[in-house]
Amino acid sequence: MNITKAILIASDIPVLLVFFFVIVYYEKFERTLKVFGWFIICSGIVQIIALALWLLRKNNLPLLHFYVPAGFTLLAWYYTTVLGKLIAKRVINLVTLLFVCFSIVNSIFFQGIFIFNSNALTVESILLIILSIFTFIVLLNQELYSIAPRIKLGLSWINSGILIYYSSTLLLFYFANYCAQHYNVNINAYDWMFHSFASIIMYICFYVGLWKQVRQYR
Amino acid sequence: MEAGKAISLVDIIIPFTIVLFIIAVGVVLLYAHFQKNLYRQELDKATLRSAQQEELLRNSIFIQEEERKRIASDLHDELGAVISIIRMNLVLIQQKVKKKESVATDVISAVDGLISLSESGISSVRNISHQLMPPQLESFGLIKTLERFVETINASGKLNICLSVKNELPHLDWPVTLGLYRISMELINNTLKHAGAKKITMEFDYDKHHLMLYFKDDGKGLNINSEDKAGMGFKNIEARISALKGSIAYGDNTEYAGFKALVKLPV
Repeated sequence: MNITKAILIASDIPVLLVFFFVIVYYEKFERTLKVFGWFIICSGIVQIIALALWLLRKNNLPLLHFYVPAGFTLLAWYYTTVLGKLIAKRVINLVTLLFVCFSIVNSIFFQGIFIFNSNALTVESILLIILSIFTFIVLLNQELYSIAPRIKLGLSWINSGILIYYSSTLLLFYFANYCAQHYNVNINAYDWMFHSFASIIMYICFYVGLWKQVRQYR
Repeated sequence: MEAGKAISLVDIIIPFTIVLFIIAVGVVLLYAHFQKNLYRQELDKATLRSAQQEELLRNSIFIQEEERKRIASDLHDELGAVISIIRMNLVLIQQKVKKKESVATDVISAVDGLISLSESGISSVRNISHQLMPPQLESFGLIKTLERFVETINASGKLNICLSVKNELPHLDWPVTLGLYRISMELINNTLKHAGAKKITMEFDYDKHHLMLYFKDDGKGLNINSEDKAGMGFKNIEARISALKGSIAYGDNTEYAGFKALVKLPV
């Protein structure tokens, strides 16, 4: 097994680690973290099925067409829950609704379920980058106690993971289909290795954020 | 031609992806840095606020003590003097009326009653003024004043106070002397009022940096759930200790029944 393949497989480990962490500690989570827990559970289930399909040498891309709108909806819900009055809920709800519609239209008319949905992923990345930067600005400008410190600590790590992952993979998502069509497998694997690296960092941030927040409940 | 295209696009995607990754990490690090600065500023503000509150508390206690001193002095020197003069005149009247045979006995007994009342008034004024500001505290110091008070309490037979000094105390500043006196009185007063105790042990100790007061009684102890704990007495004690930058630890006696407290003041 070469290093590229090893990193691609290793990227599944943090996802599953965080997934099991959420399953174990779910009862201890407070409401805001439970919403994020659902995102992790959704990601974990999708990852397990995708891994199984990959091992069975079957196309697992249809899962991505479900995961992108579902994941974005859960993340947007988490942000609206955790930021409370500091964010315009109606705007976020409207953006989520429009994105889900766009994702469905894209999957039906432009990039079918057996094609990599780069359009939806690119738009999702842009929206989440905006949301995460906005969250950082809010966290720096807010009055000290408008978000409880224990929530803030977890939110900072989770938000950092989201910003690092989605900004690092924005170009990879946008050019994914083009690269798949025009370049050989090795070059594509090289691209996805970088994606895996960003994914590992994101899930490590999620793990640290969840662990720090759970530790404060004890 | 195709290979040339492929290399050029990969050459663009990977470096730009790395640049975006570095930018994202930079944003996160900057955020962490700003957050740390914000916390530091808030911490500084909180420290400043706390120092201001402590200063305010010290000033308020100082003003309160000055006012007590003034009232005690006015009571003793003015009201006490007036009642003494009244008593003196009453004694003169008593002597005159006793010489006259025609004066009714009820007048004599009324004058006797007035003399007795004025004596009681003089005694009350003295007691109140001494409680407000014991005159011996400034002249003889904390321990002598407390010893005298303890003698009075022990003589009553209701409660036995055992006062001791482990290591000789250094010269104490007036605010510390007065603060410790008030704290001791408040603790004794609490025991008298609420504990139903038979014995109090008070020990003063000094270790070059701190002055310690160990207080113990054999009463019913401190009921954590009751309002006694957060009553005015304890609030006063805590405020005085905070103004003197000291600390207090108190709770139930684990060895046997009763209450115990350890007051520690920097000297």
